[in-house]
Amino acid sequence: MKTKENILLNIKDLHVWYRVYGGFLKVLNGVHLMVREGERVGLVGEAGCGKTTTMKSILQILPPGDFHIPRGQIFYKGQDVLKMSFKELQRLRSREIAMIFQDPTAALNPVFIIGTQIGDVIKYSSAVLEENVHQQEKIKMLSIKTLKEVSLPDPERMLINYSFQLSGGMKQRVCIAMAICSARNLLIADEPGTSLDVTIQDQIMRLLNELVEKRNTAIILITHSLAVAREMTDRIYVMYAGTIVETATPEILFKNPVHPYTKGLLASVPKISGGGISNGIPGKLPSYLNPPSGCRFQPRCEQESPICSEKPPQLFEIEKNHLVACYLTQR
Amino acid sequence: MKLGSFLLKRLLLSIFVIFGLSIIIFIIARVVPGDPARMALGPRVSEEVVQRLRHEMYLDKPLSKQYFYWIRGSFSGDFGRSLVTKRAVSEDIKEYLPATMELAIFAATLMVIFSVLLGTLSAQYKDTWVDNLIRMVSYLAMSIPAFVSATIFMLLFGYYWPILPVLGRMSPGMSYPTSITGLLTLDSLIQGNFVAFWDALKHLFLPSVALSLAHIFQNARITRSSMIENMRKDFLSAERGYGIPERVIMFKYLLKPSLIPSVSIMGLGFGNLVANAFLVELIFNWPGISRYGTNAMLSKDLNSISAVIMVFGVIFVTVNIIVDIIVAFLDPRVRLSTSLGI
Amino acid sequence: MRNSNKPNNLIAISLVRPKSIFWFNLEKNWYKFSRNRLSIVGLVIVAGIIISAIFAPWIIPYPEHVGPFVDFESGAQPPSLQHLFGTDIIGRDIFSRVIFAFRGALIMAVVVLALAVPPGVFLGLIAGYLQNTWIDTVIMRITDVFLSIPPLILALAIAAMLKPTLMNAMIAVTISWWPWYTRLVYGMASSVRNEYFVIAANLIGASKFHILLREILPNCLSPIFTKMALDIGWVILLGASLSFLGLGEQPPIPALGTMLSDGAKFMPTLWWMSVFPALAIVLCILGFNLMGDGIRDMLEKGRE
Repeated sequence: MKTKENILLNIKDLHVWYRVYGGFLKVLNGVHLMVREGERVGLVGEAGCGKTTTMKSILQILPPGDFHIPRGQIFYKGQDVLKMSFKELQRLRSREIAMIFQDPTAALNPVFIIGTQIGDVIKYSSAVLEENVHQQEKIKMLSIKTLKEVSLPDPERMLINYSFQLSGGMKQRVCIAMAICSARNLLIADEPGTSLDVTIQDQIMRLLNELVEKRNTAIILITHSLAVAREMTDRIYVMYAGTIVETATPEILFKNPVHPYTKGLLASVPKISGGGISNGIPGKLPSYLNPPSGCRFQPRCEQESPICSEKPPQLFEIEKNHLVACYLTQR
Repeated sequence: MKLGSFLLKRLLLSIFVIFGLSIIIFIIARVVPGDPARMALGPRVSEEVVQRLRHEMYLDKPLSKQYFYWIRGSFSGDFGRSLVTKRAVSEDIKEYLPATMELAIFAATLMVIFSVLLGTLSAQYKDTWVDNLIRMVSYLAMSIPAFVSATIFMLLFGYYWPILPVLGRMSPGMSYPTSITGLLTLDSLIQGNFVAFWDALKHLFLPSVALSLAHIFQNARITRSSMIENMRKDFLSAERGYGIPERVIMFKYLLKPSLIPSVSIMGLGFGNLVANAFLVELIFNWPGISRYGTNAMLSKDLNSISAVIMVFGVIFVTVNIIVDIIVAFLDPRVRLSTSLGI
Repeated sequence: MRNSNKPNNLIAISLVRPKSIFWFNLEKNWYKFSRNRLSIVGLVIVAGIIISAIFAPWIIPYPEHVGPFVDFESGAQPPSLQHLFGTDIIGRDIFSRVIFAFRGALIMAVVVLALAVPPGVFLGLIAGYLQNTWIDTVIMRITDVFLSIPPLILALAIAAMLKPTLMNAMIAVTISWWPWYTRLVYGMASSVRNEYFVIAANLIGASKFHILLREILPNCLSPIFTKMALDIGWVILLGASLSFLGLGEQPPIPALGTMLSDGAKFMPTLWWMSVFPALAIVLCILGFNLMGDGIRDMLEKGRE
């Protein structure tokens, strides 16, 4: 594959808190994540575990005013995003990284035509690089070219449509089109196609795969489906309640899961070859308002040791390319 | 095309509404106790003269015939004669309506500009002192009726700080510009008469502010809440994430969807502006149709009253149609969706 | 046959009972109301106004000044300890008259809403439930006609036609006010009637009457109450506008608008004659608006 050794994105010990009445929701509790150039990274976890929050922090597009980052660094190409100036952040968003939202209906402005939206994305992402695409004609041409790249039929007509006139699959493709315009190096796909039916989802996944290979872009693929992660990624991060609990390449992860949560996840997947449906993992996500002081999985964990409730475990390299955050596995 | 049929439906509805309005006005006017002919001529005139006037006013014919005459007359602009000014009501209206329109339009302009400005400011600086200050002032301003603020302005600017004129449309001794639209400010501008323009504008200022004050703040609140609701929406985060600069997001992608609820309310507000002009005109001695109409109502001048209410009804209905068009222009879902709600 | 429907009616009824829910949740509702401190300020103001209005004849310092009373010697006095708001031209104590004038304002608000809301709601329910029939069209078109004139103008016209009394002013405002409730309830009823529980009730065999009163209406109640709370301020404003023009409560009984217009003639020298009634009007409307906001916060679901 085309993995280089250069680290593109490196999230270190990220803590993110949401301000609510009555205190803070301490959603992210020390997230570590790393993506190399051209790499395909999967982020797996159940709903509400903080995947989207992490991604939005990278681009600094969390809802304004409500969040607080007490600790952590997000290094992109060596520079800390959290300390970037506004201009640098602009450049980051319009040329380097882009995020494809989970719900394409919510991600498109309902009162503007597609042409305006994608035209503006092109205009402002090129302007930063001083290619100065101001002429309407050129913008229109580029829009049509991009829409063709995401396999949208009849791009000229698509430009004058509003988002509610499109089907779910088309909307998702438009979002992908806008993302590839404004991202050279890293794409973040937040559960692409989950709100669509399975056949469309499959098409979207293939499209993403194609684009990523053609453009040599790195991609962070958020999904709650282990199967998708296994097929489409070079490395998987497993996330639980705002912390990374385990990370490894798909082969290693599926062959030798170590963290109790990962083991539970894999066991929950029903197998065609028989074995029935498992009992799942009892319990649910902890309250973020008053999270457990130690390991956040501890309340649901079958095994236990006194140190588990004291302080959160750090990621620990258990073998090559395999890190786990669990006291029980440290010998 | 969906937009066309939408407009057509609205127009037909409006015509129906205006007709219904005329019937109601007519009923109200004729159901009034008292004899309008007698009241117009006074108690000392002989019965014959009164009878003649009654005949002239069709008061001796059955109600349906009276209505018919009235409607037929209004199509040609003949609303009968005013019993107070003794001349054709349509003349009265022609003379006084432009003044009220000028006042209402200027007040409406102030309303639109300042409510959007204040609302956007509040939303941008949400929960800071700017927002809280505007909120406090809004609560107060919304509770001040137009005639109260007019009275206070009279007190303040008429006597304590005479920096702005408080009576009439132009200073005594100034010559009026020749009338093209009837709007003094426009007419003087068109003719290049800047002295008159400035004078008319100064006179226009206080009444308009008194009239629009409550509405400015009410709409500022609505704009603010609409903006705040849209600020949290995903499409804004997405657009920001694609690298679109902040000012484009604010002034284009946030503003347009947020304006939609404001515009409808502002349309209703315009009707209220025109209605409240009644009282403000009285206080500022503004020679508009509201003052004329109020006098007509108090002296039970039937023809004038009916005509004035009809005029207001037509204005209001027209403004509502215009507002509907603007909303349809702003919000494509209204235009192009397949089901037309109510 | 009807008796066999009783247990089914109970099922349908048990699906929705907002009135009792309100009282059970009084504590929670109070919490929601009191979150915004301004609402409490509004409540205090309103309580003060209501109490002083009810007990006016006993608490005002000069009860005779409310009726026919003349005392030119103490006329036109500026505010002092004896006369908190000063006296008017004829020598009447303005403070007493202002407090007494609150009565008229409150009575108008109560009567108008009591008279306008039930028919308005009823018409809206029928029109909404029987949507797309001729009944619906007729009702809504008539409503549209009434809505096409701003309330002040219509009320003014009606009040001007009749003899100027408080009762007639109330009638005039009522006639201008009911269509707003019809439109409000129509919108809600026409969407609620498609909800499953209504269809279910229909299938069970509940009478149309029952469906209207027990299924649809309870779900529309919150916005109706919210609107009523916010409307009190507007009705008082409309009443003051009418009395400003001389329609409504006739002298010597005091009305806030009348006092303002009388006092305006004597500005700026006898400023207290207009300033205090003006402040009273503003305070009244402000109090009801703030309280209305709080009631809206209390009744509206899902507004954090």
